[in-house]
Amino acid sequence: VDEFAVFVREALPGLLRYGHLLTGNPHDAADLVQTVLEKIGSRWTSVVRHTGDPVSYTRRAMANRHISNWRRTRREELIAEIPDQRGVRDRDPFENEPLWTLLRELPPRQRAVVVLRYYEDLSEPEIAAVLGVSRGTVKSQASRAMATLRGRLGVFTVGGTA
Amino acid sequence: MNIDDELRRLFADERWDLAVRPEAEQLIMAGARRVRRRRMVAITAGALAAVVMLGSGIAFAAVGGQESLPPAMSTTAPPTTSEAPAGTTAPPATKPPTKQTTTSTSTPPAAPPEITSAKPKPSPPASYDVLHPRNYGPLVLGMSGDQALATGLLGAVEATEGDSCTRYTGTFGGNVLVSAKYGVVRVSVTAPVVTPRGIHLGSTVAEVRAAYPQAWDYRMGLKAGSYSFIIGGAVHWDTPWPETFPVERIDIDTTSDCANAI
Repeated sequence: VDEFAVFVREALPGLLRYGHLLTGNPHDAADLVQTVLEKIGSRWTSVVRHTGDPVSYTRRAMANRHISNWRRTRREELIAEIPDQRGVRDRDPFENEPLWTLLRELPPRQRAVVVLRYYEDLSEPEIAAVLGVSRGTVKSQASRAMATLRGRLGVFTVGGTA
Repeated sequence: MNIDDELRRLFADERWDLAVRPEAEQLIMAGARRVRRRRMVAITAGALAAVVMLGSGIAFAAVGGQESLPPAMSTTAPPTTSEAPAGTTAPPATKPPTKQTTTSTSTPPAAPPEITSAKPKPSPPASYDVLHPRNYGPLVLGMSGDQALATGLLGAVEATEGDSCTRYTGTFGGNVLVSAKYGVVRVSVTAPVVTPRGIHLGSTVAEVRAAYPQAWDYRMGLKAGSYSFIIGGAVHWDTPWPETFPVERIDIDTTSDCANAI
């Protein structure tokens, strides 16, 4: 278990950052990392023995958990009950980043693919392995995400050449 | 511009970094031990209860865990009395409001109180204020600290986290967490309120799930959209909340840079 403590200490900053990218906010990031690490720690020996690379395994677990959480909560915005409050929006440290604004609106699986590709620098087969989906799915999710980003980015870039 | 480069640049931004709380490691280690202990007990209980279910230990733990686990394993749970042998019910004696849930305590533990629709839905008192997903009266998530103070609903400062986050007592009963960066990020209500779907303090976990089918379990209770229904009683987060446990606080929250603990 000591080995797990060392792992946590070393991996935590990177995992939190990655969680922040995946979830888009610190609160969910912390929740996600803690939830996943507790589970992994509870069967650490087996994780090490069977995966060989606990960091990758953890990231994979985080991506999948985040996607499945989203599946359960996607309808939670309860739009019908939102009272009139024009001008009030979640503020975000990246609210002035058009690209992030667009990324936020991508479905989690598409966003996870983008994060894994551009943050983790994983290849398509690697992403497929991480998310436990086929390469075809990765390809289609990635192309859909990129099409959305490219298509909408023009709206933001004043005189840009996107 | 090249979108690939833009994405790499965005993801490389240092603002994605989150400060690790000093006690984070201990929290995770303790949590891992709890998960492990719980799984061990669940597997043992499962094996004893039904040999047929061998090999489906996980499913068994997930489905039957909360009603079949012996009391000994819920180390943090309040001591349960003999009337609830499986340790399932016995919501904490905080303040169960006037509700007719008493019948469930006499049912045998083998029959989980799952039929939520059969229960008469208690209509909340008319005096309940409505806690909307994004606002509690004039207090709106995302409004600035100054705007929040101007509502007159903020009382004394209860806690601070550096200069970035301040928790105020809510004069309505509860508290309000304000981030310097994001404004009002959480409104916590322990006063009598009701959500538009009829959940109020004292509603049971079953009622929350019925009203918010997308609600999911987290450490403190159930989350559905911007709502967090904090559940009274103790069960580790890895186990589904027992159906009869009561809501003892309702939060609404949004994007935040405040530590979970504040």
